[in-house]
Amino acid sequence: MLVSKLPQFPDFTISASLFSNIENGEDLVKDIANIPYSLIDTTLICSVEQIYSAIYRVLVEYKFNRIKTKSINSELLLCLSQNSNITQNFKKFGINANTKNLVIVSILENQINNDLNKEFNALLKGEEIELNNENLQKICDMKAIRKILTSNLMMIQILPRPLSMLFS
Amino acid sequence: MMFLNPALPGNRWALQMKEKKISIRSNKLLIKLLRTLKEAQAIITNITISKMSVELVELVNQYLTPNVPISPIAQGAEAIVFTTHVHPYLPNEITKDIDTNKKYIIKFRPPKKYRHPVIDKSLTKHRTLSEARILSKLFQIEGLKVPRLIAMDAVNGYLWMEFLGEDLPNNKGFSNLKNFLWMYSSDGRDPYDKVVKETLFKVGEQIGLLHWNDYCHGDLTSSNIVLVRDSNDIDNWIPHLIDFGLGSTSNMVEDKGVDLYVLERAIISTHSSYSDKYNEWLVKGFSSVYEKQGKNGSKKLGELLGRFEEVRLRGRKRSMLG
Ligand SMILES: Nc1ncnc2c1ncn2[C@@H]1O[C@H](COP(=O)(O)OP(=O)(O)OP(=O)(O)O)[C@@H](O)[C@H]1O
Ligand SMILES: [Mg+2]
Repeated sequence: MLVSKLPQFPDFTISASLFSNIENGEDLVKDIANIPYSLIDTTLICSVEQIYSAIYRVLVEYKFNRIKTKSINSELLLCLSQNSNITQNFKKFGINANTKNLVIVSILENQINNDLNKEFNALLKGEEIELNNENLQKICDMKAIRKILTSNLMMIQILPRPLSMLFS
Repeated sequence: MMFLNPALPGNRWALQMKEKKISIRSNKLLIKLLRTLKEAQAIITNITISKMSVELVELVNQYLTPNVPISPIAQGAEAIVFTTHVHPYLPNEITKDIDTNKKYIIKFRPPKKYRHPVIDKSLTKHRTLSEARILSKLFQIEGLKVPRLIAMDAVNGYLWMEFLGEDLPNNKGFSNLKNFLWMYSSDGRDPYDKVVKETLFKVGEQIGLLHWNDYCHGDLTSSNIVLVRDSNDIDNWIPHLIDFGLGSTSNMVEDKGVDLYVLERAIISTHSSYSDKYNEWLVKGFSSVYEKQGKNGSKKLGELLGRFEEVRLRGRKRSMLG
């Protein structure tokens, strides 16, 4: 689990983990309304930058503007692309019954939860692997990403250098 | 008496001048003095910057929190630019793997008091978004070099991008094209060095690529071209275009001609003794991009250079009229 704070938003603690070989996708989808974290299907995620730049956007919106969805957790799914269509983004980046790999993110304001790692592992039936670009690139779908990249101008910028070269 | 901060390059010059009481004995010294006058101009700008921006820097500090220490490096008509060593969002575990040189640019468009606050907010948002959009589009064009965008808060007018360039050796300033050319015209160096020729050709190529893809820069001065040194070859300077605050998509020869004219004027005004050759090399690089595009490219190039000449003539008329 990666635990960090964004320098500009010291009141928020961000925790994120990558899980592969998820077996309980169906249950997770059923219960999604009660899960206090963001669950992101990694099919379209090939870099840590993608996740964290979206978290940055969420916090900027949360602090200076107004979030457009009902919680910080759902807002993260919206902020993963420049597209502001909520339904489309949930479909693209949210989990579904067949989700095999996902990133789970918790954003807590003025709160510390020392049991998060345990909670993540209790919730997800799968295998935790280190959240890094190498692992994400192994499990993402490059073809699908290439497709959305053409319609998502911000995204290519946040990919790590060697990867963005691939797309230029 | 104004206190001169010796950390600012312009002021350092002025202080040195005071100590040495330089007298004018030769042309070389005269040139030096002229440069010093330029520096003095810079000092005045610096003083105005520091007066104007205490309030603004405070605003930025509040926004960024003490966790993001910043150093102001420039104030233009529209924006203040800072550098920082703090990445806006990546955890340390990640940055240490992908960024060896951790330095970032924060470009801030402050609120303008003379505008209605609502209009001002919307304008700021619009301009920040527009610069970000154009940067991301250009970033995807093969061969074109622009800074990578890292983060954006359009509502508050903030853009974060990667820092490009370095300090030139022997206190010759930041590695933009202007200072680079200064460097080669001082200390007994050859202003027509092969490296200068190659670099200007590559600058021309960048502008050619930009225009071929139907983008215009809008403020193409020699400070808006940053040279990044190839880490494997110290004489290989890779030009990058920055500052797309006035950039736009355009297929009009007029806009492109004006871009070329603005850069030509910039070179003439700062490096007049060598500007003929310099501009020739720039145009060579520019043309090479179009010539690679076959008949269509050559045709477009002809139209464009024709318009460039027209713009130049217009400029000359204007300056003769005063
Ligand atoms: N990505 C970058 N890397 C390094 N330096 C940069 C970068 N972006 C901006 N700078 C520095 O900051 C200065 C001002 O930036 P920029 O030109 O984008 O702002 P501006 O307010 O539009 O300036 P101006 O109005 O003077 O043209 C540049 O001349 C350059 O020295
Ligand atoms: Mg500029």
